Amino acid sequence: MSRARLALLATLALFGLSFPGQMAEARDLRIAVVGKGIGGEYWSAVRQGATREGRAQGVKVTYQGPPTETDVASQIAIMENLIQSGVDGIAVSPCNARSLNRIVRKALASGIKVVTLDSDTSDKDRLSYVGTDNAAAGAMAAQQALRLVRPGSTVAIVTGVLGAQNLQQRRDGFTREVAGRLKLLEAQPDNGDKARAVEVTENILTAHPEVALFFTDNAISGPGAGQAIRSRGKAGKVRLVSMDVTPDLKTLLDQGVADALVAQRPERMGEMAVRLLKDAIGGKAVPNRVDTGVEVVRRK
Amino acid sequence: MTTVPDKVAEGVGSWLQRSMPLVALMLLVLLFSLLSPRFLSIDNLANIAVQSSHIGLIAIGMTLVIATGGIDLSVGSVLALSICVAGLAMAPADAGGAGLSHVTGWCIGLATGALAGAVNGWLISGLGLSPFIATLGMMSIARGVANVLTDGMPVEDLPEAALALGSSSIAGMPWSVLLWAGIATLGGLVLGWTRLGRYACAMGSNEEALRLSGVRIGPWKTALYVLSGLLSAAAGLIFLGRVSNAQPSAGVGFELDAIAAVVIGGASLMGGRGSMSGTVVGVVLMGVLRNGLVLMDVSAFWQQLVIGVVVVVAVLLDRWRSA
Amino acid sequence: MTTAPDVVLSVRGLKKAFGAVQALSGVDLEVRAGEVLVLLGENGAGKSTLLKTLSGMHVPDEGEILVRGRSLPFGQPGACEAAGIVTIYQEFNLVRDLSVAENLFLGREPHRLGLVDHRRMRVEAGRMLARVGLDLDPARSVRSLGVAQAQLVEIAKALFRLERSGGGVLTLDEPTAALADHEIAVLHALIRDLKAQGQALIYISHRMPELRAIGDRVTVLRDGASVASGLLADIADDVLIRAMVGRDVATLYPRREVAPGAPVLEVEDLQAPGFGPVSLAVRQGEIVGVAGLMGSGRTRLLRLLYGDARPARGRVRVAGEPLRAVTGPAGAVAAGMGLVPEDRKNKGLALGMAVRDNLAMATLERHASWGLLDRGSLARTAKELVTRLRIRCRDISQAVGRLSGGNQQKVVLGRWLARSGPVLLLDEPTRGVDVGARAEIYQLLAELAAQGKAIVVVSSDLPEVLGIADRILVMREGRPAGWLEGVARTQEAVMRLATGQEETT
Repeated sequence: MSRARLALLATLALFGLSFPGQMAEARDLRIAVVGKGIGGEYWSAVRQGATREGRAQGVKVTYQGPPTETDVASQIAIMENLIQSGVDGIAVSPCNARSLNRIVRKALASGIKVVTLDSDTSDKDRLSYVGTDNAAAGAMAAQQALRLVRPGSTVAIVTGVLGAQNLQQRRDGFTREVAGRLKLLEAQPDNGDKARAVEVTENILTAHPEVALFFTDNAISGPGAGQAIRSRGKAGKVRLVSMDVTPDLKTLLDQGVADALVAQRPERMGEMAVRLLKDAIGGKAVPNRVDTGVEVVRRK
Repeated sequence: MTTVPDKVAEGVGSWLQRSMPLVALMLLVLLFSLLSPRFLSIDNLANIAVQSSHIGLIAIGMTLVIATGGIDLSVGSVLALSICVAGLAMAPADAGGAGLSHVTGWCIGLATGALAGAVNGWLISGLGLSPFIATLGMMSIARGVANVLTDGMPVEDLPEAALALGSSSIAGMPWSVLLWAGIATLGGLVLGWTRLGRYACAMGSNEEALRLSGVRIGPWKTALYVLSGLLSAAAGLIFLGRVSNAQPSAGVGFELDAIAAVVIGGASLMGGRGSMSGTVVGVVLMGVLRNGLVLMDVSAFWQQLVIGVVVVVAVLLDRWRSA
Repeated sequence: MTTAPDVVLSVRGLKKAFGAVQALSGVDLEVRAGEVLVLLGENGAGKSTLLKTLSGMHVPDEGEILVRGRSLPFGQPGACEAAGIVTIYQEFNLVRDLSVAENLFLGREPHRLGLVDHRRMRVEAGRMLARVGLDLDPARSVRSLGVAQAQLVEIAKALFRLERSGGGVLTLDEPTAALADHEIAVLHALIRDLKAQGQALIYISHRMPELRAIGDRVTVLRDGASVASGLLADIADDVLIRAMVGRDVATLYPRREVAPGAPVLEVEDLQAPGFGPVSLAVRQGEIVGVAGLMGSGRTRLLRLLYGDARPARGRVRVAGEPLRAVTGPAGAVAAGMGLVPEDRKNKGLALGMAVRDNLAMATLERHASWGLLDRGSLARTAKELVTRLRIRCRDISQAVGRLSGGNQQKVVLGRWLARSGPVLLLDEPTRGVDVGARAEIYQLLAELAAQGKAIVVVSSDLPEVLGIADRILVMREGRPAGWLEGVARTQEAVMRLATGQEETT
């Protein structure tokens, strides 16, 4: 019996532990940021930007996210739970543009202000979208490519997931900008797996030795492609332009494997999303889109 | 010397041991309802039930498989394959689908899940692979086939009727919850009141004894994996309605949620023991935790940690219970 | 009682209980230098508890153990070995993938500068192997050795440990169970040699002639107590058996009127690689015993009959219907056979499941209507069987693993009673079963035979085979060595056939 009592106490203690006593006071505004994932530098930057802005504005910000970037169902469940919890505003980065339409409408219908962040829903019936103008970012990358290789050169694209809308827009922006000036191979997906990105790049290098430059449209494909280029001894001969700036990519830049990085500004996304939500909750009008811009990082 | 109070205490102790998952769930519900006034609303409880329903269905099949001492790691991938096949069957022709009716599409999806389960069963009882290896293989194969069929892209533009199981209600009750409740009841009947269920436990306890008792193991075991595949597909049909499209990347990690629920519910991974009501409690417990922690404004990191701790504690309790 | 100077081990008033079961209830024995003490007793008489207590795995409740006059520390296996008690158990304790030398020194490797001194190990190993008359390369892996060689390696290992402890008692637990005749001869020569060197030994075996060949003294255990001891030469076999069983053998085995009917189980020319051909017919109401040494094909015969192994050729018929080998045990059960396997825990019972579930394991389909099981009828059947077989359990939902060996065995039997097929096969039906339950099981078999069932009992327990079987098939090296019927059924006759000393007429 003493063991049963002990277990009971342990259970109580466990559940007690899981609430670090951060209950919101009734008058605080509560805003939730729902990312595509909970790990990784990108989402940490979003979270930090949002939290800092929350402190500045005097609102309580919590960060939520599904365990993996493809887990739409968990993301929807988190949204449902947030609606139940009666938050005042939600900034969400949809794992899938269409799957989130319904739940975003439901949140708006229950009086919660909703903005999208980083990527948008397909119906676009949120108050505002805060993120990179992906087509413009793609075009920016294309300009770097044009600077690096001779006209008529062959360019390969390694992408994350074929269905992701933001990546699609980046590739479209890139394609439009280089049309007629560079030869493009069909984009190859790595499904968000760096090891796969290495393989895909190696296969392209083997099948198309004429490739002069790789464009990678996200922070996972980039390091993968860079690793493959380096191990094939093609660093400096085959150029690499990637979206995003991460420690891996910066290293590749310093080593002369990558030539230009087009950086999004995730921290600014989190910050702007919270600011817009605060405004919207306060009854102010908010713009339909906010471009958080990109910056190009080159080797010094 | 045992006195009367000792015996009462012993009785209470053994009841606590048996009903530990339920007691933990009740404590949790009590705690959340004290801490958040919104927790105990009908809306929120329905919300938890809907969110848990697809894992709930998968966990029913998983309970049967785990009772045999086996495991089905392929449930998430089989779910993805089933909904992709069903999605391609139901999507209109101009969206690259076959434009079949939603009922036909559902049936095709269910058949796909059952087929994948049958292959698992054949690998395990026909070729003698260990369930871990066989379903690990199927986990990758089903995902691969789903990606090949859809070219890695979600199947969109599904007819509204195709999504009904995950998105609509009848008389105020969501279809998904009704399905879960109904199939869990059936699952309980299968486990406790049919030859299939009793054989499943006997396999987990001592397969050789069952075989020497004149029971052909192969067909029965295969049937259990077919059921697991079928239920994964059924979970997929609910999932389809929840996310509105059929994604080949759906269901990653669902096997772990389902296994965790089954273990929290008091089953032993060594087989021979399992309880359908325990599994339902396990699924609800994880759903309540996820919901409650969001309601409490607890961040995602803490949620992961708490759920991990609960699973480990459940296994420790289980060991204590069976000691 | 004073201790004679040459007494190496003396055990006095040893008692040990496990819960309510009194496993040892007063054991006294003495082992002298240069002598073999034969330890006799039925299964469950307390031999293994005694051995485990001697080697420190159990702590006795009462009594004392003196090794060369010093009392043995209890419950410390390492200390017991250091004091000079080394036991070789029936199941081998060698690590198959290590070399002979590594096995000999396992856990006691000679070291030099913190590293295992392989050179010294090889030299020492060669010396130890020479002591047991074994000429082989100590670097060979144990896996590559035959059973007899492995046994000698075990003895070498034991002698090495005894040497380190400065001498003591070597216990051999049924060392010849898996050996062929010429191998037994080698082992016995070694034992005589060790005796001549002054080694004290305890020897456990069920084979009377063997015991007489090498034993000096005997102690008989029954129900956990030593009931007789003395010089082996002074005591006749029947006296020893009576001491072991505790009553006249006739009362343990039920008296039966045998009026065999038509043949039910017919086997023609059954063959498999290294087995057969075997032909036999078991008639209604008949109990056929199958005897033979370990490895003689007794269990194999049952597995072939039961479809659990595929015969190369030959036919099995049950009630005239031929059995198809491809259908396996399921086909055999459908044809009306039932098997009580040798290894109850691994092959007979789902230990974690209820008595009720285990009893119904072969008959579940009879309790199903519209796909659902009728729990009421399951419980009724289980209760009937529990009453009929006098299975002692708390209730039918108690896990079968909680029951005693005898009651577990009754559950396996009950499973086939529930099916009531015409043929029942039993492999070592009373291994690990106490005397009381044994008598009940024999009584039950007699009743089943009287009801017209054809029963085959495989057993290494000779008195058991002699006591219950109408006819005895003796197997040797996979072949039938002969049949014994009526007055020809004697222990000596079985042993002669089993060991091949004399062909039957």
